Amino acid sequence: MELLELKSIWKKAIKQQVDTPNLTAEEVHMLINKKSNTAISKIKREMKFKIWFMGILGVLGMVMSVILLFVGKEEHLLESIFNSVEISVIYFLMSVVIFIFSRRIKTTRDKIREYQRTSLDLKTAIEDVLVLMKKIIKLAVTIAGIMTPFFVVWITYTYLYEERVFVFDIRVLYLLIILIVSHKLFSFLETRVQRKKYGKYIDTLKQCLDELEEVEKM
Amino acid sequence: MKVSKIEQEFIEKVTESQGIVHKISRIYCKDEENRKDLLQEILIQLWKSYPTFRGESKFSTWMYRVGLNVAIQYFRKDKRQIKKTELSTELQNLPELKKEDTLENEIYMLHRAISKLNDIEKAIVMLYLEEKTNEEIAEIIGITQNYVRVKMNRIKLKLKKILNP
Repeated sequence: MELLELKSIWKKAIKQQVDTPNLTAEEVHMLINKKSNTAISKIKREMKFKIWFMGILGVLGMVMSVILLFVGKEEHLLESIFNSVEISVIYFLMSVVIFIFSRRIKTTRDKIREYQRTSLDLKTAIEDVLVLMKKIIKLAVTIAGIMTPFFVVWITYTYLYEERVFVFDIRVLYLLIILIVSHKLFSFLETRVQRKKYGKYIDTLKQCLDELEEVEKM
Repeated sequence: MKVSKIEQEFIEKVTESQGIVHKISRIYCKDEENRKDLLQEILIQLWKSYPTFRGESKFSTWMYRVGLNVAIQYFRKDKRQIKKTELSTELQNLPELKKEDTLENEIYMLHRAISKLNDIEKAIVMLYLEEKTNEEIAEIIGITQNYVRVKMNRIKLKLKKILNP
């Protein structure tokens, strides 16, 4: 078979396979209103859940903070370690951190939505989606590297300072070491998780981009 | 069916040009099930990005651009994930055809050859077979016309090797 014949065979093949459209307007309408299952759409949905979850958690934290500060509830979680004001400040700070991350997730989600609304050429689209994936992974690693150590340190603190007296002694050094180690560990683990989740996808896109750039370098 | 004016306009245009979506799905997917999924994804993405279509390029060019973007970025975590070098299940299951000049045989050979190309090459060769100009191919893929020519020459050589081993 010669190359020149390809076009005519293609035409015949298309005539045989495609020229009898089998989708009606109703079917098209039904299909466009279905849920997308692309990697990007799934990430977007996950982010929506996280924004809501973190938002609710943040609001609850703020409410607890206000209650403890103004109502001065005597019985509360960690009452053996912190007084109402201290725990109120902790709840407040925790909520602020949660809100900051929730906001960052929303910004990234908005960028994904913006990307999905564009109709860029193939090369630019691949470049853009790679940048987006990098941002998504970086954000997930940052959240895991800050939020999880925060809880680990808190739990360790409650264990180390059971007698409610905070003094600068060796325990502070323990806390600092635990903070650094857990930050490194959870950042590393989250990087691995993200790599496992999206590594293949990113590699495939990079291969496609290399293929397009290779021609340009000639 | 309750649809807005813009949705109605979109559905009419896409239904009329749906051949493009079918062709892309056929080129990139191994089996009928994946093909249907990809077709759906392309339609969803076309609808999402339709508000940004301002008629600066042909509607068909825009459809190819969006469709190929989805096909190449289409990602499944399961075993049905698209693999660029794998032959379609249907092609693999086809009995070995004799070298007769029947249309079925020729179509089989054509699809078999295309399935051996990588994702980018598939996109370029499909546009070439669709008789798109180098300018249009460059616009859809995002490379210059000169590079389209270079790439097309390479693909032709590759296809020649596949077709005439």
